[in-house]
Amino acid sequence: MACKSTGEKVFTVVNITLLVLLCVCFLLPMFIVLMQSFLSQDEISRRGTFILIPEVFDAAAYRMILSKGSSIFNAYGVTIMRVVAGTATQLFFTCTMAYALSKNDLPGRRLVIALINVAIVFPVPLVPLFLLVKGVGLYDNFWSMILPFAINSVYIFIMKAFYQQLPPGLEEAAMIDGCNQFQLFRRIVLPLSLPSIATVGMMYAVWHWNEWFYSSLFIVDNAKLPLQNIMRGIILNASGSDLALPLANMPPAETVKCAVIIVSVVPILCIYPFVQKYFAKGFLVGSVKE
Amino acid sequence: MKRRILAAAIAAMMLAGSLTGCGGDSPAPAPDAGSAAPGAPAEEGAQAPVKIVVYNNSGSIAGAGSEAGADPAIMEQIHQWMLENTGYDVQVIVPPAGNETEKLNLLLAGGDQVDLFWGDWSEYASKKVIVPINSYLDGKGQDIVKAWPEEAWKAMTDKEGNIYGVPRSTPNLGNPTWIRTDWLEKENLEMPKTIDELDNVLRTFKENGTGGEGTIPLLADIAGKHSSKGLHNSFLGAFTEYGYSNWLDPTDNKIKPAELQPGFKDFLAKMNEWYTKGYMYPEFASLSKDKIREIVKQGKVGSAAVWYSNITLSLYDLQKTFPEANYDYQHDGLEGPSGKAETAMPASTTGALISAKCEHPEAVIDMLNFIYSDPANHMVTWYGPEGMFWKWKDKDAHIYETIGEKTGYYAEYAFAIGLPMETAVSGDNPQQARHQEYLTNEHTDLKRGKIPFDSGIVYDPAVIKARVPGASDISRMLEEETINFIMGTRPIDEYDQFVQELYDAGMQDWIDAYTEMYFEQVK
Amino acid sequence: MRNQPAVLPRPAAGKKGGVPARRGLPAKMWKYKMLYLFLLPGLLYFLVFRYIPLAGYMIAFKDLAPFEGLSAMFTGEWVGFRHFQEFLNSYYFWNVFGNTVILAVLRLLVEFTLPILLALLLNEVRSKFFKTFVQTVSYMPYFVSNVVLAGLVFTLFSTNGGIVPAIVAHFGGVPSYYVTDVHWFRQILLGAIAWKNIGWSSIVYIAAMSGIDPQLYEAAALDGAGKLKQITRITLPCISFAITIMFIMRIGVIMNEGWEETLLLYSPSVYKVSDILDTYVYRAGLTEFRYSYATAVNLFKSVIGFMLVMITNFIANKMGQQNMYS
Repeated sequence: MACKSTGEKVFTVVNITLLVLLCVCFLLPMFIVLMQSFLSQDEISRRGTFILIPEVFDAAAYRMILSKGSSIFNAYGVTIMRVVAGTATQLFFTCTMAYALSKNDLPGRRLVIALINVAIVFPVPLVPLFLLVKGVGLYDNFWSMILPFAINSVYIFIMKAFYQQLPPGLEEAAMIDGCNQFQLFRRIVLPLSLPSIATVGMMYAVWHWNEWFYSSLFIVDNAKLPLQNIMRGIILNASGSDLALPLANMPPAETVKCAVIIVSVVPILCIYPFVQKYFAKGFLVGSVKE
Repeated sequence: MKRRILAAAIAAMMLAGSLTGCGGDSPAPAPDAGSAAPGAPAEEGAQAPVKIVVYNNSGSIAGAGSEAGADPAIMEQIHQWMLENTGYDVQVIVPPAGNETEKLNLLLAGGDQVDLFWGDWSEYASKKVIVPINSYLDGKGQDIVKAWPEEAWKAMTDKEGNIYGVPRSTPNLGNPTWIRTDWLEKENLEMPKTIDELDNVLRTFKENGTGGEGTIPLLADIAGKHSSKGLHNSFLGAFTEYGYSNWLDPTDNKIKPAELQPGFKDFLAKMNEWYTKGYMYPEFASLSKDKIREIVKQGKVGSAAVWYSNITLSLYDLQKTFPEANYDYQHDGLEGPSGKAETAMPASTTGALISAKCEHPEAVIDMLNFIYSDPANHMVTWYGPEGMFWKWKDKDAHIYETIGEKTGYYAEYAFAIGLPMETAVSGDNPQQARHQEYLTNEHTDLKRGKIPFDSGIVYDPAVIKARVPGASDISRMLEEETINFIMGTRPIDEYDQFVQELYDAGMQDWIDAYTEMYFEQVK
Repeated sequence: MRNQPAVLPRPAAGKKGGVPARRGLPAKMWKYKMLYLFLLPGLLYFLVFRYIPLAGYMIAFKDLAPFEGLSAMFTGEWVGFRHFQEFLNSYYFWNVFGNTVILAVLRLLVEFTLPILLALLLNEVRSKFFKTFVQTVSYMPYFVSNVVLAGLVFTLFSTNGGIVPAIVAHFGGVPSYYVTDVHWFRQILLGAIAWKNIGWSSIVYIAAMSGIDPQLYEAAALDGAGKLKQITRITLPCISFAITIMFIMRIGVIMNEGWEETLLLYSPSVYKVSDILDTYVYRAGLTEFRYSYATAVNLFKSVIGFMLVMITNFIANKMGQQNMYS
């Protein structure tokens, strides 16, 4: 619009400036990490203090990580499978339960919600969980990284709230046309809820991508370890031990750590912008309360 | 999906009935059952060989690449070698990096077969999770007994004389004060013999900026390796009679912690002086091993009060950039008003322990003894099959040389790891030269420092838990306030107030409990 | 339409839910029988993987080591509330508890309000490209793990070449190692947490805002409403239920989440302002193997968290806002 008041112009300028500053804040540390992943031992010894941009870009750390060949690519494969299968499983559990709970006059609803609340506040202690996982035969099994975490209670409430936003007339109309509950869910509710499914799904996916603690305890076979565990191992072992002879020309520990970060973060950053357009479609259909 | 959940739910409810029945998944493939090796001390009759499962959290599995696991072919080769030479089917569980103890606890809680693992015996014995090994050592453990000195065994023995495990460490000195000899030369100084002389050296380094811009006269740490505190282990002995150790107060005949010694206040004052004058690296309280080595390799560290390996293993890289650089320390032992400054690390109560559920403890000791009996055996378990990554350079002198890069085997079977075996062999690798030399000749040169007063006494954690409810608080207070005094956040003259606060937190309980345990064991 | 089954009077099944008519209850359950199938997977999950392990909290009332098995959980000696008493009587209890509360409140403020602010700012941006760019950049830090985050902080603040002391010196100040300084630690910790989280947390709000009908803004502008009024009268109310839900959720997890950052960044010299329940217990467990004690403290924390959730929910209900049960 041509006629913008001065106040609005000032606001816009301030806004943009603030946002740019924020961008710098967010980018700078990542930039430092990226730069540091190319630092060689020589240069550190020579230049000493804070180095922002290396004179020589030494990719030794990346070579070291990626040259592991099979183990890294294998771990990538495991993680991707875990993200896909895990997210699908979690969405399945979460959406079905949330849908049921979104019906206000479902008998027993409040009891179930209370149960979920209790589960939120009392985290599961490790030893009993481990014994349970063993007991049901999931130990050293790919699914041990997924099933015990099938639902994050917070997301149930997000989905539930979303479903409650849908116009009730929609469902009634479908029921009159002779749909049963399943068809209703599949043909009408699901397509409408894609944006929030995408949001919740993304959050689950990222959790799966980053999680390492439980996998380190439930998985024994190295071939089944996801990426973060291998990465964590690389970092811990990059410092070397006093008992193991160091490899010749190994890059400094800090450099290796930074390279590991880059390798494990970059893939997500590449994918996310594509998924983002689902959110832009509108997280809450009909969120405006009439 | 739903069916699986139902099955899981039912299985979970049956969990209560299947407590100890779950045998663990064995990670490595079992060898052919009937392959009893020729000449091996096999069981009577043609039975399957005894299976021994070892959770190797001894610290031997390390090094870049170990996170991906060893090459199964190499593991199988060593496994076979073990089977042929001992007759036992030895399996190794490799701990997850960073979560070793958690995993171990879970395996033990779950009832998995774990025959041999490393830990603090005093913690496990009271809960009857491990067994004494005296009879087995008498039977087949002669080489193990010979390898470790008396002091080390004493720390693994309870007050009734039961030995609960094979030691992992022996009293040693790991905190000399290393000084850049080339800098001393530059400044025309001698290697200091006393704290006062060291003070002078530090002052000179600082005032003249001997290492150029960013000179660090003294790099010290306080949360060190192997539970050593750099500052305390390097310097406290100069100011107090007993150094960094519990001590018996003659005035009331009670055991007290190091921080209550007369002279501790002087130690704090001196450290504070060095801190405020800028001799000490300001980030001393949050240094990690990597950071220390990185700083050392930058060539700006004039002297270091850290665990020795941080220096010995960095020398090679340091000299690549600064060929004239070298570190050494006062071999007669730095001294102060109260005597030798350095305090030794006592023999620890951590060692190789045998589970109470193990069906053949004598086999475990037999197997261990095999490794201890010949340095060549240790080399195989530590460095892989002979000829693959290593070979003898001089077999009689036990000097080996490496062949290429070792990848695919990370000492998973090295159960005899420890000073005796580490010094029984020596390699020709220049990167480790100084380290090896220190280990062999200087690490146990105990006359250089002070030995902790109660070395060999074992303080039962169960007793501490029951009798000293304020133990965590006291730990925190000691850590926190020591650093505050050194940094000057808290003035030194509040030291007496600090002592009073310790008593408020339950120090008297601590003193009573420790005193009682001490006198029970000292005969 | 389904045929209604014959309705017989039956005693109430004891289910909460405010369903009054006894005759109607079984009929209702029948009508919704498909929905129960929807409910089943999630319910089973909760019962098996979330409720059965809760039996493990019995450990808080005994004296167990972490490596003692299942049988010990049932046969071990019962010590009642001894661990709780020990904890409440310990020298540092008030310091630790106080820090936990302070840190939780500060975190709530930072992690809750800042994302909304960021979303508001972004919402005003006309250029789609710039908006997407900033948003992408803002959630990049989320993928950095806590270990790396701590490493970054140490690097930035290091007196041996860190950028922050360099800047301070440049402007004539005398830099010190702020990470071990009690006056600065909380700010650094919160800054790091904010840096990591606000981009990600703002996603929900940005998405919610993009669903608001732009005609509302046009109408308000025509009526003469300024930016501020538009924000407070349109934007915020429209996303109010998202805000409320997120708020209640945050409260629920506030006692349990977020101690990892503290553990990685703190050091003894700043224990006084940073030692919280989780870190205190972590050290106790680590060096003194006080497993049952640690479980007792966790139980204590969870009970408090639970009360907080109930209170917040109650208040939200009273205010007519979305709550968990409606």
